[in-house]
Order: sequence, then C-alpha cells, then structure tokens
Amino acid sequence: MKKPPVYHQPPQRVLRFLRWFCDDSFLEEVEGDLFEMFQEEVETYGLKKARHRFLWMALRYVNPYFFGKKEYLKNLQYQFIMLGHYLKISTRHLVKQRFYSIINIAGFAVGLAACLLIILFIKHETSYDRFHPEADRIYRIYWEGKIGETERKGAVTSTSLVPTLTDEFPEVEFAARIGPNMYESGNNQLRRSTEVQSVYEENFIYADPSFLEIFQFPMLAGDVSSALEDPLTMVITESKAQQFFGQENPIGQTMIINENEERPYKITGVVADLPTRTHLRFNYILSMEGVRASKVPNWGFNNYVSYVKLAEGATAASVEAKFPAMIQKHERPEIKDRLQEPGNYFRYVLQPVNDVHLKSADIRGYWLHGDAKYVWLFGFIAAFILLIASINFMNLTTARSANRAKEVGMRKVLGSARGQLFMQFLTESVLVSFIAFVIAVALAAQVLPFFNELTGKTLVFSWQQKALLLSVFGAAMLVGVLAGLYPAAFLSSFRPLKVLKGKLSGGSKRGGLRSTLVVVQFTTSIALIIGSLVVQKQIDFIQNKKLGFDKERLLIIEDCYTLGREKVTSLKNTLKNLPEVDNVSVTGYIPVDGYAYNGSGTWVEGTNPEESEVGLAKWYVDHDYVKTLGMEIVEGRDFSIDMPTDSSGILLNETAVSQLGLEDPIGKRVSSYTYLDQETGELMFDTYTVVGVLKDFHFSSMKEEIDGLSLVIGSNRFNAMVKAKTTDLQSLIKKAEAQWATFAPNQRFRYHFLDEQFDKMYTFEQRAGRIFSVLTALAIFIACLGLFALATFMAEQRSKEIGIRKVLGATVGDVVFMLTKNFALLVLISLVIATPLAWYFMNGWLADFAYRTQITWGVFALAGSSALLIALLSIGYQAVKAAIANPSDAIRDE
Amino acid sequence: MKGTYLGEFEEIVMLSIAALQQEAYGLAIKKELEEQTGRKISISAVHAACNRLETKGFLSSSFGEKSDMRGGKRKKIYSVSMKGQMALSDAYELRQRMWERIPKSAFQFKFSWL
Repeated sequence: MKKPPVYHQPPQRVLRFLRWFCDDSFLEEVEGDLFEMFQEEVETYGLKKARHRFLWMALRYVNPYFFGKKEYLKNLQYQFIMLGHYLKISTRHLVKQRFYSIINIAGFAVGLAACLLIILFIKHETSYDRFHPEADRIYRIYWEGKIGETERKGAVTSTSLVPTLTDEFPEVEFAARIGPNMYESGNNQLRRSTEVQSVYEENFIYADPSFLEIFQFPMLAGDVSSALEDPLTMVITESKAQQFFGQENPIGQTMIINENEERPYKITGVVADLPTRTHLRFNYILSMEGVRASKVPNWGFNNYVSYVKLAEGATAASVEAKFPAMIQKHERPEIKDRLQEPGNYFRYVLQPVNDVHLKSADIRGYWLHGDAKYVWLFGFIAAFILLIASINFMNLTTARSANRAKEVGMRKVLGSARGQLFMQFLTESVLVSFIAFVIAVALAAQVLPFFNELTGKTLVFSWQQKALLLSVFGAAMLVGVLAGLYPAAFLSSFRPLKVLKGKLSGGSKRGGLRSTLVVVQFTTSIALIIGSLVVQKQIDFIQNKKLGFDKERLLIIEDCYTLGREKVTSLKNTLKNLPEVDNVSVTGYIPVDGYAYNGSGTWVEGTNPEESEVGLAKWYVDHDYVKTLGMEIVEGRDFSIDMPTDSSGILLNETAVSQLGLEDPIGKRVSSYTYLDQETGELMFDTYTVVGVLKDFHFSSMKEEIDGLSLVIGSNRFNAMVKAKTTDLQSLIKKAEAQWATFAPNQRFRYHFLDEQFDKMYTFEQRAGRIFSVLTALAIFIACLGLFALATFMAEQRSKEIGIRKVLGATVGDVVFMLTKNFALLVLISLVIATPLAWYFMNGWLADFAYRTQITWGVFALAGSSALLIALLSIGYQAVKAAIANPSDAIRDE
Repeated sequence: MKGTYLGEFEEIVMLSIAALQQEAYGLAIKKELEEQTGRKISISAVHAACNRLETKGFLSSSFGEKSDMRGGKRKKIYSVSMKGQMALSDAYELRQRMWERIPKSAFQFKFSWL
C-alpha cells in the first residue's frame, strides 16, 4: 500500500501571528495557499530557508486591507501613525537645534564607540583557552608556598609530579609536562636534513605524548595518541609545515636543530596553527621522551609546566584534597621538614586552563600573560565614559526643556494627552541614542586598527558578533529611555494655562540635579587624569632608575652558540680589537626579566644544605662580564684572567651575601648545585671561593625586589655582548656583521640592543599607560563637550539679564566672572572628591611594584589645574561672547 | 465608466483566472502570472487583488474540497463574473480602438530610426 505523503509543517508561531492580524474572511484561502506553497519551497530551498521565506511571505500580508474589521489592529495602526508623527517632530526639532543635537549625538557616539571597543577587548581577554574541547576539565598545576621569609607561587614544577599524578590519581585522565625552557626548547636554528642553510625559528617546546590528548589540537596529519611517543620526534604547526615543505608531505621528514646532526628529529604530526586566544605558545613540539632527565624521578628538578585533564565527574577540589598526602609521601625532605615550622606551607593548586591567561600575574612561570586587573580597570573606565556621555545627554535635555514649555502648552490646548507628550519626548531621546549608536558602530569599525595597535591585539569586529552589538544597542536604548524619562515626565506635566501666560520660564532655575551631574562628570575626569599621570610617572621612574649597570650602547649578537667553542673565542677577540668596541663578553645571561628564575640552591660550605640553603640566581659568565656591563664591585675584586683559581671563584651580589648570612664574605667558600646526573638522578654541586661582592643591580623587572645573585665562570656561549665606545652604532653593526659573515657565512646575523630589550620588559605597563591616557582624553573631551553646550545654553538663557546688567554698568569682566564662577566652583568640588579616590586606587596599583614612585601633591595640583583650565576654556568662549554682545540686541524686543 | 475601470495588474489577474477555468485559485494564479509575465509576483498581491475584484463584483468564488496538501484548508476558486467579463471586453475594445487610431507611419518611423 502506498504510504500517505508526509507534509512539512510551516512555523507555527508565524501562523499564529498571521491568524492574529489577518481577518477571518481571508484566512482559509491565505493559509491554504501558503501551506501549499511552503511544501514546494521546502523541496526547492530546503527546510531552513523555506521557513525563513514563509515568515517573509506572511509579513507581506501586514496591510490594512487584510486587517478587515479588527478593532485592536486599527488602534495599533493609529499608534504607528502617531509614532511616525513623533519621529517627524523629533527630526525637525533635532535639525532646528543643530548645535545641541550634534554635541549630544557626537558625545554619546564617541562614548559608545569607546565602550564597544573596550567590551570587545574584555571579551577577547576573558575568552582565552575556552575553545579546547572539554576545556572545563583541563587544569594547569601551580604551587604556592611560604618557606621562611618568602611567600611565592610558581607554575614551574618538578619532574616527578606528573608521573605521580598519572600513577596514583584515578581522577586524572591524562597528565602531561611541557618544557618550554630547557635544552632545545625556546628558539633554535632549524633546517631540513636535506638542506644546508638553517633558519632561525621560535617557540620550540618539549611535551609528553599525552599533551596532545589533553588539549586535542586538531591534527591535520599524524595520530594524537602516538605522535610524540618516540624520542626525537616532533609535531609542527600547519604554517611551519607549509613554510618548510610546501606541497610535500611533512610526515616522516627529518629536521636538524642547531646543526646537531647526531640528534635529527623526525616529523610525526602536523597540528593546526594555534589561535591567538590561548596562553600556549609553540610552533614545534618536541617529544619529551628524548629528554633523559625527564625519565629520572626527581622532586627538585623544577623545569616543567604540568597540565592535567580530569576524568569526567572528578572535581578539582577532590584532587587537591589528596595533595597533602602526596607531598608527605614524595616531596623532598628539605621541604617536608621545613613545613613543620609554624607559618610555613606548601601546596599544589589546580588552575582551570581558561584562568591561566588572566590570573597568573603573581605566579612565576614562562610566557607572558595578561592581567585581570587591567581588564577590570578598562571595564570601569568604559563604564565611566558611558556615564559621562549619558550625563551630557540628560543635562542638555533637561536644561533645554524650558524652551519647549510654550510648545507643550500649545499642544495641550490643541488636545494632546499627557501620554502622547510623554511619548513625544521619549521618542526624541531614543532617536538621538539610536543615531548615536549607528555612528558609534561605524566609528568603532573605523578606529579598530588604531585600537589594535594600542592594545597589541588582533581584535576583529564583524556583524557576526550579534550578542555584542545587541548588548551595546540595548545599553544605548536604555540610556536613551532613562535620559528621556525625566524631561518627558517633567515637560508633560506643565499646566497649559500657566505656561502660556509665561509663568514658567526658567528650566535653568532647576539646576541642582544638573550641578550634581556635572560634579560626577568632573570627578571621574579628574580621577582619570590623576590615574594616567601616576601611571606615566611610574613608567618614567622605572625607565630612568639607576639600574646598577649600564644598559646603553650594548649590542647583543645572538646565536653565538652555533659557532662552537673555538670560533666564538676568536669572534670575541676580533670584535674586541675593533676600534669602536670597548669590551666584549660571551654569555647567555642578560640582566633583564626572564633570566632571574633559575634559582639554584646555594649554601655556605660545611653547613647542612637542607637547613641553610637559599635559592640564588646562578649565571655562567666569562671574565669580561662585569666590565662589559659596567657593574660595580663593592668588596674584593672582579674575575681576572690572570688568576687560574678564579675558575672556581664566585661573585655574589649584596643581597646574596646577606641571604647567606656571610659576615666577611671574601675568601669564604660556598657550594651550589650544578647539574642533574642523568644516570643516578642525583643533583651534583660544586664549591666556590667568593672573590668579590657586586653592588646590587636590577636584573629583573621593577616589580620584583632585587634577589640574590651569583656569578661563576662558565662556558655559556649563547650571545656575545658588545659594549660600544662610539655612539655611531650603525657602523659598529656593519663591522660586527662583516666579522660574523667570516665565521658563519651561512647564517643570518641577528642582533638587538640591551636597552631595547629592557624597554620590552615594560611593554605591558606602557601599553596600559597609553590606553589609559587615550581613554582619559576621551572622557575629558566628552565632559567638555557637555560643559560647552551647557555654558552656551546658560548664556543664551541669561542674555536679557546680561543686557540689563551691562546697561546698569557691569563690565565685561564682571559678566564673564558671573557666568564662569559657578562652573569653576563645581570643578573645584570635583577635585576635592576625586583626590582621595584617585589616591586610594593608584596606591593600590603602585603596590604591585617593588620599586615605585611617590604620588606627590604636584600630581593632584596638575590634574586639578588642568581640569579647571579645560573647563574654563570650554565655558570661557561662550561667556566672553555673551559679555561683549551689544545689550540692546538682547533687550530690545518685548 | 468609473465602475468598470481595471488596473493593469487587475486585468492580467482576471485574464489568467479566465484561462485557468476550474483551477483558478491563489497559488495557481500566481504561477500562471509568473510564467506569462516573467516577473516575480508575491502571493499576497494576488490575494489582495482577487479579493478586491470580488468586492467590486468582477469575480465570484466558491470553495473546493478540504485537502491535506493545504493543511486541511479548502481552495478558494475564482471565476470571472458577468460584470467582470464586460469589464474585460471593455478594456480590450478600448485598447483596440486606440491602436487603430495610431497612424501606421508613427511607429514605422520609430522602428526605422531604431
């Protein structure tokens, strides 16, 4: 038997809507035809598009003809006609009052555009690492602890943590270590085994095989579970595969890192390029299996970042609850013993992976992260800007209301109901905010490239972001309604008789609310000025503070290690003999952020390391290091090439001396760990004689206190640091490059200057400072726009009064003073309110820096006087214009 | 004269109803019109025109059978009423008269010029 055909159902909601407005006499026919047509359209366009078209077809019946005799629709129709009328009147009014409309719309649009961009920025910052499949089950492990004086958090964990978690924790589905800063990770020279020329490539990391399973990066080739299983295998990103192999299949190809032909890497997988919204940074993943140290159990060899993926249903709290027992079972005795002392603690914490980007400011680790504080700060500023813009809007509307009293009276006489007048004024303000919204969206799209440069992000803005656009649209409409509500209620309440007789003339008299709003605006603006001044001051302070070494004219030649020991030495000597060169030192340890973390346990010889060990940064340098960097020796002497015993000598900085508790340091002997024996898993150490004490210098960011540091002679050949004699750095670069070419003809000459690298340490703060300043300027601009319009209005309102005063003998100065004194007073009140507020918040910000500038009274004075000046300038023009006008023009009529 | 005036769209709607005979209901009229004119025609325009013409008395209508194909609704089948036929032939005659009044040379000139 033939099955009866199944008919597609058109959207019921549309049908219900159709039945609601369409007269019954048409329904049978219309519905039937539409239904039949829908069946055909599903065949041609598919269900989704057909449903869309169905709605459009139904909408075409919205026409008075089809309404028939439905009363409620007739009313609705009248409402629509009224709305058209409101819109027409509003438009006429806006056009007639061009000056105020433009200021109103411009201020509001700029504010909205700023808000839109900042929301875009905040959304971007808060959406990091959410895209991984099952991201809610992925955690990074960091530790926090207080042993003795120092309280710290760190994301760098030991060799044994991950294997222990895998073996002993059933809740952990996968656990993996990555090594972003050991052996061949970081940046390297790289080439295909079939080629000669290496290229410099960035972002290599080591990772355990399960790393790929935790994050489930889309694999374009290779197998997720086995790609990193064997030693000397690597997984590369799509764009790198493209770069090296083009159309060829990269799988199975071999790569040579740093000319080390004994350890060729085989490519076993290709992953899609990382999106920008992740805290992870890599182009190449090397298999951890090839790192022998990773196989030797050790709870003290901290070089890894650990990630876990919990089994479904397991909670982070349940895992963390089991950590104390794990610490008791496995941790090093020196940690365990000291945990007995009161006040000390040490624990591991599971941090959700999408928190890593924003909530790692106080956690030591690799890679630079964002900072939740700035996201909050910008969010607040965005809200303030919107507030200032909305206040303009309300102020102008209420102030100008008086001029429309007669209009209201006339309308009432002609039969307008209060509700209609109310709607009229509301329509007006909503129209303004709608226009402002449209302009704001266009403006935001236009300035996005500039904003991206400012923030260092690559934000995109498109129509796809419906939620964002809708929320900003909603905010704009809300402000429109709120701003219109008060004037609407106030104006529609006028008694026609009184108004027409001219009793109610002064909307300007009701100035209390307006003054309060102006104070709010200026308090915000002044606080923002103070904020950006303090940020600027701190940045200047950091950049100009005496570091304890000379960062100027220091050329750093990179990749020297690829030359090999002999060539490096001859390169150093050749460079040293150039007339432009003062001194050369070969080492990888550069005194900027990032090198300070290699804390190495150090103790005075003969004491028990478990009790007296302190973590000192340990830098392997050559004999010319101190001289090249211009560091100061306060006691003892520098390393000397003439003293063979110096190969086991050590230089300590003052902090290290006091941390070790040395009274008379010169000649004392200290021991410190050197390397991890890969066979036995034992940490080896050496003992050194102190030859000199270095004056403390800043070797990391100013956010950190100067830490203990030790220098020993070693053979780290990463970079050559060249101290120039001349200021003609270009010719130095040319000569150095020529020398480099004789030693390494196949390799590009890569260099940078220390002071540039130093500045980069503070890009984050500088960037924040710049954004802060731009936003402050915007806020002030909008506030002044409002003040300007308000002053214009006041001058207009009082033109008769001014005329009479002048006739009676007031001078221009008197009139200007009269017009400006109220506003000046408001700005002064704002200053008084803003000062403690800004002081409180900016002190909080400064507390982040170990070395910080003072907030002096000068800052407040400067902020206050500039705010006052800007305010007076915006009022002054109108005041003077009103004051020099001919009085007879103002008082001749009436 | 005013009572029998037909607009262009109304006229072709009525012509297609006359042509479709027993099958002259909204959707069929729409398709016929689209086929003949090559224009996109919205179903709501057809419905509005038919119903207006019916009120004017140019069309009469009857309902067909209920069908599942139409979601359980009946077809409204139109036919041209006596008055409608008169209006159509009036319009036709009017055109014809006017065509005849055009001297042959008026168009010939134009065509040769083109």
